[in-house]
Amino acid sequence: MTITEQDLRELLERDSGDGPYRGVAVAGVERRARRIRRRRGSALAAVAAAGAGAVAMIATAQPPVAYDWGGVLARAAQVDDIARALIAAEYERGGRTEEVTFKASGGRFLLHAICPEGRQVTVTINGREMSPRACLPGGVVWSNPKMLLRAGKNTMRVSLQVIGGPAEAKPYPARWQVSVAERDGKGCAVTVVPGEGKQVVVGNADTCGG
Amino acid sequence: MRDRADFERYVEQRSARLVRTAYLLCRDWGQAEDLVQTALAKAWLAWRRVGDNPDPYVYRILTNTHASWWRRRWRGEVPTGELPELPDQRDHEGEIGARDALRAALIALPARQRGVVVLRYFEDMADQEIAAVLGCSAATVRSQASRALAKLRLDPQAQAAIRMESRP
Repeated sequence: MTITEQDLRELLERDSGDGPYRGVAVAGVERRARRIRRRRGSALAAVAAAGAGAVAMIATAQPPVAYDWGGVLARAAQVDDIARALIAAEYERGGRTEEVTFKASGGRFLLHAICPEGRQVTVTINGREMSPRACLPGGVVWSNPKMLLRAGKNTMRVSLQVIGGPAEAKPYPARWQVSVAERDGKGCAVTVVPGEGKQVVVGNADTCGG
Repeated sequence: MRDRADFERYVEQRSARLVRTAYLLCRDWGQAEDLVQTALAKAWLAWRRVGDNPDPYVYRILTNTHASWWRRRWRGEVPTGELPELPDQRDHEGEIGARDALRAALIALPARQRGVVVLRYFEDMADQEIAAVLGCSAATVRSQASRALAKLRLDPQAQAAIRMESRP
Protein backbone atom coordinates (compact mmCIF):
# COMPACT_ATOMS: atom_id res chain seq x y z
CA MET A 1 0.00 0.00 0.00
CA THR A 2 1.04 3.61 -0.38
CA ILE A 3 0.93 6.41 2.13
CA THR A 4 -0.80 9.61 1.18
CA GLU A 5 -0.30 13.19 2.26
CA GLN A 6 -3.54 12.90 4.22
CA ASP A 7 -2.21 9.84 6.09
CA LEU A 8 0.79 11.89 7.09
CA ARG A 9 -1.37 14.75 8.38
CA GLU A 10 -3.51 12.33 10.36
CA LEU A 11 -0.52 10.57 11.84
CA LEU A 12 1.03 13.84 13.02
CA GLU A 13 -2.30 14.96 14.45
CA ARG A 14 -2.89 11.63 16.22
CA ASP A 15 0.64 11.21 17.57
CA SER A 16 0.81 14.68 19.07
CA GLY A 17 -2.75 14.41 20.38
CA ASP A 18 -2.02 11.41 22.59
CA GLY A 19 0.26 13.05 25.11
CA PRO A 20 -0.23 15.14 28.20
CA TYR A 21 0.19 18.36 26.26
CA ARG A 22 -0.84 21.09 28.59
CA GLY A 23 1.51 23.86 27.65
CA VAL A 24 4.08 25.40 29.92
CA ALA A 25 3.80 27.82 32.83
CA VAL A 26 4.97 31.41 32.59
CA ALA A 27 6.84 31.01 35.90
CA GLY A 28 8.88 28.15 34.46
CA VAL A 29 9.67 30.20 31.37
CA GLU A 30 10.82 33.09 33.54
CA ARG A 31 13.15 30.85 35.53
CA ARG A 32 14.64 29.53 32.30
CA ALA A 33 15.03 33.09 30.95
CA ARG A 34 16.92 34.13 34.10
CA ARG A 35 19.31 31.20 33.65
CA ILE A 36 19.92 32.06 30.00
CA ARG A 37 20.50 35.71 30.86
CA ARG A 38 23.03 34.79 33.55
CA ARG A 39 24.86 32.45 31.17
CA ARG A 40 24.98 35.04 28.42
CA GLY A 41 26.14 37.71 30.84
CA SER A 42 29.10 35.67 32.01
CA ALA A 43 29.98 34.58 28.47
CA LEU A 44 29.92 38.11 27.17
CA ALA A 45 31.96 39.41 30.05
CA ALA A 46 34.64 36.85 29.23
CA VAL A 47 34.47 37.70 25.54
CA ALA A 48 34.87 41.37 26.28
CA ALA A 49 37.91 40.65 28.44
CA ALA A 50 39.45 38.24 25.93
CA GLY A 51 39.51 40.28 22.81
CA ALA A 52 37.00 43.03 22.34
CA GLY A 53 39.82 45.22 21.10
CA ALA A 54 39.79 43.33 17.81
CA VAL A 55 36.64 45.07 16.77
CA ALA A 56 37.30 48.41 18.34
CA MET A 57 38.25 49.88 15.01
CA ILE A 58 34.64 50.21 13.98
CA ALA A 59 32.88 50.02 17.32
CA THR A 60 32.25 52.82 19.71
CA ALA A 61 33.26 52.49 23.32
CA GLN A 62 29.95 50.96 24.37
CA PRO A 63 30.12 47.61 26.20
CA PRO A 64 29.14 44.44 24.31
CA VAL A 65 25.60 43.22 24.66
CA ALA A 66 23.82 40.02 23.74
CA TYR A 67 21.89 40.22 20.53
CA ASP A 68 19.19 37.61 20.11
CA TRP A 69 18.89 35.94 16.80
CA GLY A 70 17.40 32.56 17.49
CA GLY A 71 19.35 32.13 20.65
CA VAL A 72 22.56 30.80 19.17
CA LEU A 73 25.31 32.49 21.06
CA ALA A 74 28.91 31.38 20.97
CA ARG A 75 30.36 30.74 24.38
CA ALA A 76 33.35 32.61 25.67
CA ALA A 77 35.57 29.56 25.77
CA GLN A 78 35.31 29.17 22.04
CA VAL A 79 36.00 32.74 21.08
CA ASP A 80 39.44 33.30 22.53
CA ASP A 81 40.65 33.74 18.96
CA ILE A 82 38.09 36.32 18.05
CA ALA A 83 37.43 36.95 14.41
CA ARG A 84 38.01 40.33 12.91
CA ALA A 85 35.08 42.50 11.90
CA LEU A 86 35.71 43.59 8.32
CA ILE A 87 32.96 45.99 7.45
CA ALA A 88 29.74 47.38 8.84
CA ALA A 89 27.48 49.30 6.49
CA GLU A 90 24.23 51.09 7.21
CA TYR A 91 21.66 52.05 4.60
CA GLU A 92 18.56 54.21 4.65
CA ARG A 93 16.87 53.07 1.46
CA GLY A 94 15.50 49.77 0.25
CA GLY A 95 14.66 48.68 -3.28
CA ARG A 96 18.03 49.34 -4.82
CA THR A 97 21.33 47.50 -4.92
CA GLU A 98 24.15 48.93 -2.85
CA GLU A 99 27.78 48.09 -3.49
CA VAL A 100 30.65 48.20 -1.06
CA THR A 101 34.23 46.93 -1.16
CA PHE A 102 36.39 45.75 1.70
CA LYS A 103 39.70 44.04 2.27
CA ALA A 104 40.08 40.62 3.86
CA SER A 105 42.81 38.13 4.46
CA GLY A 106 40.65 35.47 2.74
CA GLY A 107 38.74 32.50 4.11
CA ARG A 108 35.53 31.81 5.98
CA PHE A 109 33.26 34.59 7.05
CA LEU A 110 29.96 35.41 8.67
CA LEU A 111 27.40 37.91 7.49
CA HIS A 112 24.87 39.62 9.75
CA ALA A 113 22.00 41.85 8.65
CA ILE A 114 19.47 43.80 10.67
CA CYS A 115 16.46 44.76 8.61
CA PRO A 116 12.69 45.40 8.83
CA GLU A 117 10.31 42.44 9.03
CA GLY A 118 8.44 41.60 5.86
CA ARG A 119 11.57 42.23 3.78
CA GLN A 120 14.44 40.07 2.69
CA VAL A 121 18.09 40.75 2.06
CA THR A 122 19.93 39.56 -1.03
CA VAL A 123 23.70 39.44 -0.96
CA THR A 124 26.22 38.88 -3.73
CA ILE A 125 29.89 38.63 -2.86
CA ASN A 126 32.46 38.73 -5.64
CA GLY A 127 29.69 37.95 -8.13
CA ARG A 128 28.33 34.90 -6.29
CA GLU A 129 24.81 35.23 -4.95
CA MET A 130 23.91 33.84 -1.54
CA SER A 131 20.40 32.60 -0.68
CA PRO A 132 18.15 35.54 0.21
CA ARG A 133 17.11 35.56 3.86
CA ALA A 134 13.87 36.91 5.30
CA CYS A 135 14.27 39.55 7.98
CA LEU A 136 13.38 38.49 11.50
CA PRO A 137 13.31 40.32 14.81
CA GLY A 138 16.88 40.31 16.04
CA GLY A 139 18.41 40.13 12.60
CA VAL A 140 19.41 37.45 10.18
CA VAL A 141 22.74 35.66 9.96
CA TRP A 142 24.44 33.72 7.18
CA SER A 143 26.53 31.74 9.62
CA ASN A 144 28.24 29.31 7.32
CA PRO A 145 28.40 30.52 3.70
CA LYS A 146 29.93 27.93 1.39
CA MET A 147 32.03 30.47 -0.47
CA LEU A 148 35.25 31.95 0.86
CA LEU A 149 36.38 35.55 0.86
CA ARG A 150 39.30 36.49 -1.37
CA ALA A 151 42.58 37.60 0.08
CA GLY A 152 42.65 41.32 -0.74
CA LYS A 153 39.76 43.29 -2.19
CA ASN A 154 36.22 41.86 -2.03
CA THR A 155 33.09 43.38 -3.52
CA MET A 156 29.71 42.97 -1.86
CA ARG A 157 26.38 43.95 -3.43
CA VAL A 158 23.37 43.97 -1.14
CA SER A 159 19.72 44.86 -1.56
CA LEU A 160 16.67 45.04 0.66
CA GLN A 161 13.50 43.92 -1.04
CA VAL A 162 9.96 42.78 -0.42
CA ILE A 163 9.91 39.02 0.21
CA GLY A 164 9.75 37.33 -3.15
CA GLY A 165 10.01 40.66 -4.97
CA PRO A 166 12.66 41.97 -7.36
CA ALA A 167 15.99 43.25 -6.05
CA GLU A 168 15.49 46.53 -7.85
CA ALA A 169 12.28 48.49 -7.26
CA LYS A 170 11.29 52.07 -6.60
CA PRO A 171 13.54 53.08 -3.69
CA TYR A 172 11.78 53.62 -0.37
CA PRO A 173 12.99 54.76 3.05
CA ALA A 174 14.15 51.89 5.28
CA ARG A 175 16.93 51.61 7.84
CA TRP A 176 18.94 48.43 7.53
CA GLN A 177 22.43 47.26 8.20
CA VAL A 178 24.87 44.64 7.03
CA SER A 179 28.15 43.59 8.60
CA VAL A 180 30.79 41.04 7.63
CA ALA A 181 33.25 39.36 9.98
CA GLU A 182 36.00 36.86 9.38
CA ARG A 183 35.54 33.71 11.39
CA ASP A 184 37.97 31.87 13.59
CA GLY A 185 38.75 28.21 13.01
CA LYS A 186 35.72 27.13 15.01
CA GLY A 187 33.29 29.40 13.25
CA CYS A 188 32.80 31.89 16.05
CA ALA A 189 32.85 35.58 15.30
CA VAL A 190 32.28 38.96 16.79
CA THR A 191 30.57 41.54 14.70
CA VAL A 192 29.18 44.99 15.33
CA VAL A 193 25.78 46.57 15.04
CA PRO A 194 26.45 49.54 12.77
CA GLY A 195 25.44 52.89 14.10
CA GLU A 196 25.05 51.55 17.63
CA GLY A 197 28.54 50.23 18.16
CA LYS A 198 27.23 47.17 19.99
CA GLN A 199 29.49 44.17 19.75
CA VAL A 200 27.61 41.05 18.80
CA VAL A 201 28.90 37.57 19.48
CA VAL A 202 27.53 35.16 16.91
CA GLY A 203 28.21 31.66 15.71
CA ASN A 204 26.72 28.23 15.63
CA ALA A 205 26.80 26.78 19.12
CA ASP A 206 27.46 23.28 17.76
CA THR A 207 30.21 24.32 15.43
CA CYS A 208 31.78 26.19 18.30
CA GLY A 209 31.52 23.16 20.47
CA GLY A 210 28.54 24.44 22.51
CA MET B 1 6.14 47.73 21.97
CA ARG B 2 5.04 44.35 23.31
CA ASP B 3 4.67 44.02 27.06
CA ARG B 4 4.59 41.35 29.74
CA ALA B 5 0.82 40.88 29.61
CA ASP B 6 1.20 40.23 25.91
CA PHE B 7 3.80 37.57 26.58
CA GLU B 8 1.73 35.86 29.27
CA ARG B 9 -1.23 35.78 26.93
CA TYR B 10 0.91 34.32 24.18
CA VAL B 11 2.26 31.58 26.46
CA GLU B 12 -1.23 30.76 27.67
CA GLN B 13 -2.72 30.58 24.20
CA ARG B 14 0.10 29.03 22.20
CA SER B 15 2.25 26.88 24.46
CA ALA B 16 0.06 23.76 24.29
CA ARG B 17 0.27 23.82 20.51
CA LEU B 18 4.00 24.52 20.63
CA VAL B 19 4.50 21.49 22.89
CA ARG B 20 2.70 19.32 20.34
CA THR B 21 4.91 20.65 17.56
CA ALA B 22 8.01 20.16 19.69
CA TYR B 23 6.93 16.60 20.46
CA LEU B 24 6.68 15.85 16.74
CA LEU B 25 10.21 17.16 16.32
CA CYS B 26 11.80 15.22 19.18
CA ARG B 27 9.28 12.41 19.98
CA ASP B 28 9.66 12.83 23.73
CA TRP B 29 7.11 14.71 25.82
CA GLY B 30 9.58 15.71 28.52
CA GLN B 31 12.06 17.04 26.03
CA ALA B 32 9.24 18.74 24.11
CA GLU B 33 8.26 20.77 27.19
CA ASP B 34 11.91 21.56 27.77
CA LEU B 35 12.29 22.74 24.18
CA VAL B 36 9.23 24.97 24.36
CA GLN B 37 10.29 26.42 27.70
CA THR B 38 13.70 27.26 26.27
CA ALA B 39 12.24 28.73 23.09
CA LEU B 40 9.78 30.89 25.02
CA ALA B 41 12.48 31.99 27.46
CA LYS B 42 14.66 33.15 24.57
CA ALA B 43 11.66 34.86 22.99
CA TRP B 44 10.91 36.63 26.29
CA LEU B 45 14.45 38.00 26.40
CA ALA B 46 13.85 39.59 23.00
CA TRP B 47 10.14 40.27 23.46
CA ARG B 48 10.33 44.04 23.01
CA ARG B 49 11.80 43.54 19.55
CA VAL B 50 9.33 40.89 18.47
CA GLY B 51 6.77 42.18 15.98
CA ASP B 52 3.01 41.79 15.97
CA ASN B 53 3.21 38.10 15.18
CA PRO B 54 5.66 36.31 17.47
CA ASP B 55 5.07 32.90 15.87
CA PRO B 56 7.82 33.00 13.20
CA TYR B 57 10.35 34.12 15.79
CA VAL B 58 9.30 31.48 18.34
CA TYR B 59 9.14 28.68 15.77
CA ARG B 60 12.55 29.65 14.52
CA ILE B 61 14.04 29.40 18.00
CA LEU B 62 12.20 26.12 18.53
CA THR B 63 13.51 24.48 15.35
CA ASN B 64 17.03 25.87 15.81
CA THR B 65 17.17 24.68 19.40
CA HIS B 66 15.83 21.27 18.44
CA ALA B 67 18.36 20.90 15.62
CA SER B 68 21.13 21.91 17.98
CA TRP B 69 20.01 19.48 20.72
CA TRP B 70 19.45 16.75 18.17
CA ARG B 71 23.02 17.01 16.92
CA ARG B 72 24.40 16.99 20.44
CA ARG B 73 22.23 14.51 22.25
CA TRP B 74 20.44 12.31 19.81
CA ARG B 75 22.14 8.97 20.01
CA GLY B 76 19.25 6.57 20.48
CA GLU B 77 18.46 5.70 16.89
CA VAL B 78 20.49 5.44 13.76
CA PRO B 79 18.85 6.66 10.53
CA THR B 80 18.74 4.01 7.85
CA GLY B 81 18.06 4.14 4.16
CA GLU B 82 16.40 0.75 4.32
CA LEU B 83 12.88 1.03 5.66
CA PRO B 84 10.74 -1.94 6.60
CA GLU B 85 8.63 -3.24 3.73
CA LEU B 86 5.10 -1.94 3.80
CA PRO B 87 2.18 -4.37 3.69
CA ASP B 88 0.50 -4.84 0.32
CA GLN B 89 -3.12 -4.92 1.35
CA ARG B 90 -4.99 -2.19 3.14
CA ASP B 91 -6.40 -4.32 5.91
CA HIS B 92 -6.54 -3.26 9.55
CA GLU B 93 -3.23 -4.85 10.52
CA GLY B 94 -1.71 -3.48 7.37
CA GLU B 95 -2.76 0.06 8.27
CA ILE B 96 -1.21 -0.25 11.69
CA GLY B 97 1.97 -1.63 10.15
CA ALA B 98 2.05 1.21 7.62
CA ARG B 99 1.56 3.79 10.36
CA ASP B 100 4.38 2.27 12.37
CA ALA B 101 6.63 2.22 9.34
CA LEU B 102 5.75 5.84 8.57
CA ARG B 103 6.39 6.80 12.18
CA ALA B 104 9.77 5.03 12.12
CA ALA B 105 10.66 6.77 8.88
CA LEU B 106 9.66 10.15 10.34
CA ILE B 107 11.86 9.56 13.38
CA ALA B 108 14.76 8.61 11.14
CA LEU B 109 14.58 11.84 9.12
CA PRO B 110 17.35 14.38 9.72
CA ALA B 111 16.24 17.18 12.03
CA ARG B 112 15.95 19.74 9.25
CA GLN B 113 13.76 17.53 7.04
CA ARG B 114 11.60 16.52 9.98
CA GLY B 115 11.17 20.21 10.79
CA VAL B 116 9.97 20.90 7.25
CA VAL B 117 7.49 17.98 7.38
CA VAL B 118 6.10 19.04 10.77
CA LEU B 119 5.76 22.70 9.83
CA ARG B 120 4.16 21.85 6.50
CA TYR B 121 1.81 19.04 7.46
CA PHE B 122 1.08 19.74 11.12
CA GLU B 123 1.33 23.53 11.32
CA ASP B 124 0.08 23.85 7.76
CA MET B 125 2.59 26.57 6.94
CA ALA B 126 3.28 27.65 3.37
CA ASP B 127 6.79 27.05 2.04
CA GLN B 128 7.58 30.76 2.24
CA GLU B 129 6.64 30.84 5.92
CA ILE B 130 8.71 27.73 6.58
CA ALA B 131 11.62 29.36 4.78
CA ALA B 132 11.34 32.39 7.05
CA VAL B 133 11.26 30.15 10.12
CA LEU B 134 14.21 28.01 9.05
CA GLY B 135 16.20 30.90 7.61
CA CYS B 136 16.54 29.48 4.13
CA SER B 137 14.94 29.94 0.72
CA ALA B 138 11.57 28.49 -0.32
CA ALA B 139 13.42 26.44 -2.92
CA THR B 140 15.47 24.83 -0.16
CA VAL B 141 12.28 24.06 1.74
CA ARG B 142 10.82 22.39 -1.34
CA SER B 143 13.93 20.29 -1.91
CA GLN B 144 14.08 19.26 1.75
CA ALA B 145 10.39 18.34 1.65
CA SER B 146 10.88 16.38 -1.52
CA ARG B 147 13.74 14.37 -0.01
CA ALA B 148 11.76 13.77 3.16
CA LEU B 149 8.70 12.58 1.25
CA ALA B 150 10.83 10.24 -0.82
CA LYS B 151 12.12 8.69 2.38
CA LEU B 152 8.59 8.45 3.75
CA ARG B 153 7.52 6.68 0.55
CA LEU B 154 4.45 8.78 -0.06
CA ASP B 155 2.09 7.91 -2.83
CA PRO B 156 3.72 9.08 -6.09
CA GLN B 157 0.51 10.85 -7.07
CA ALA B 158 0.51 12.70 -3.79
CA GLN B 159 4.16 13.60 -4.38
CA ALA B 160 3.34 14.90 -7.82
CA ALA B 161 0.50 16.96 -6.39
CA ILE B 162 2.79 18.33 -3.73
CA ARG B 163 5.43 19.27 -6.29
CA MET B 164 2.84 21.09 -8.36
CA GLU B 165 1.53 23.02 -5.42
CA SER B 166 2.67 26.61 -5.76
CA ARG B 167 2.56 27.59 -2.15
CA PRO B 168 3.45 31.31 -2.04
